[in-house]
Amino acid sequence: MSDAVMPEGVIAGGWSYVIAAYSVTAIGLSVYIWSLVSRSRKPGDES
Amino acid sequence: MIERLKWHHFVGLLGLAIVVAGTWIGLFVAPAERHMGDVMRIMYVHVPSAWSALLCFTFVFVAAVASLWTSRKRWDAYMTGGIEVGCVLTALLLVQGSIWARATWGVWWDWDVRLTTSLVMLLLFCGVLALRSFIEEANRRATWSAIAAIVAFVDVPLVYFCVRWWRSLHQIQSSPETVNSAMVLPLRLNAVAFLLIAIWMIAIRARIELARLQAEDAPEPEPLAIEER
Amino acid sequence: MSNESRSRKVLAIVAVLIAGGALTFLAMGGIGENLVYYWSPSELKEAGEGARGATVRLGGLVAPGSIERGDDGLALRFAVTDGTETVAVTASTVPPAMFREGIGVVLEGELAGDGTFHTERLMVKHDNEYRAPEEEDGRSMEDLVKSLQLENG
Repeated sequence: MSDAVMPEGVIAGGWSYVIAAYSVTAIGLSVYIWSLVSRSRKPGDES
Repeated sequence: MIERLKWHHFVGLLGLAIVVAGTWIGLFVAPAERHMGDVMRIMYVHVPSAWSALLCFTFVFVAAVASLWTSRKRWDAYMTGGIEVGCVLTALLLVQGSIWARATWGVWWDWDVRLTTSLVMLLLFCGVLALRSFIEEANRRATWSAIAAIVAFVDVPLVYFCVRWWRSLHQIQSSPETVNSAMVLPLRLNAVAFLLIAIWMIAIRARIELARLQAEDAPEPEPLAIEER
Repeated sequence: MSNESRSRKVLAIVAVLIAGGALTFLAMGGIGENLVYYWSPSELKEAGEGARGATVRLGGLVAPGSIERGDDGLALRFAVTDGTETVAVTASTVPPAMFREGIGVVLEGELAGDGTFHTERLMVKHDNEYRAPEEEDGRSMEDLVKSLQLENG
């Protein structure tokens, strides 16, 4: 049995970190691309 | 609207197709790392974000010099596009890195040279964008934002080389010899994909900026009657 | 050529020269000497009394066979080495999952009077090796010490 407190030198259950990092990236890029599209639809038009 | 289907949209679509393939391989085909386990898969977005951000700012340097040299609005617009996209990628880079750091190093942040110079890079180029928005007159804005961008660029080689020059918590660059061969493919695919997507975003942003600069340059329209609503 | 566009070209040259000069200064070690991110065990021992009482960072490898956990489950004892010198460490924190023998660590803390280093901020330093689980790590202690990049400023 492995000790619960003392780490074994290997990260177990790392998927939550992976999902967080990929989600931030996907959402960040999507929001930015969406802002580019909405800005290029109405060049110089403030309304 | 044939105008809309410009070359950069093909670049962007190609980038999106490759990023889907690279991410799929990175998440589900490539092996977990011996010690980091699945957390290491963050590398397939983190390293491409870093590379493309550094390349964006290198392009910004070239565009800034070209803008001063030629006084053409096109370069001013490209420079702005490069800065904005570079800042978006650097912001994502810092968040991904922070998540990866929490899992491996045990901390969200530390004032290590790699992290500090990367944060400084983001702040400096945000500063250039802020400067742009403060200067009203077009020629002065182009001149001073280009000079500011050239000065801010000093930090870009530092971000890359600092881990080789100084001690750091962040590891130095990996190479194909230090990375399992099955991990190299998704890394390369996503690196190419991020670069293509960055080029696409810069092109769109530069077109928006160029249209704005040209509109700004156009003779004042006849004063309109104020609409009553 | 208009006056304005000529002065802009001059500004371009000046800005590039300033940027290049600043970068050369930094690359040649202009600030490197005063900016040490962590001390190796050898440097900490050499500093001796000078290192006492101040918060410093100590970096090195977790010495093989040195990890001991105290009875209360919190106090962790191990030693940090750079292959030449070794410093005993007590940590009052739960180490990150990757903590193990032979891994690089960066510790923030203080050197106590008895020569042990006490830390509450234990960071694991991963090197640039990424391997599949089935791959053997054939690296010697010497190779691992190299990954600490102690020759860097």
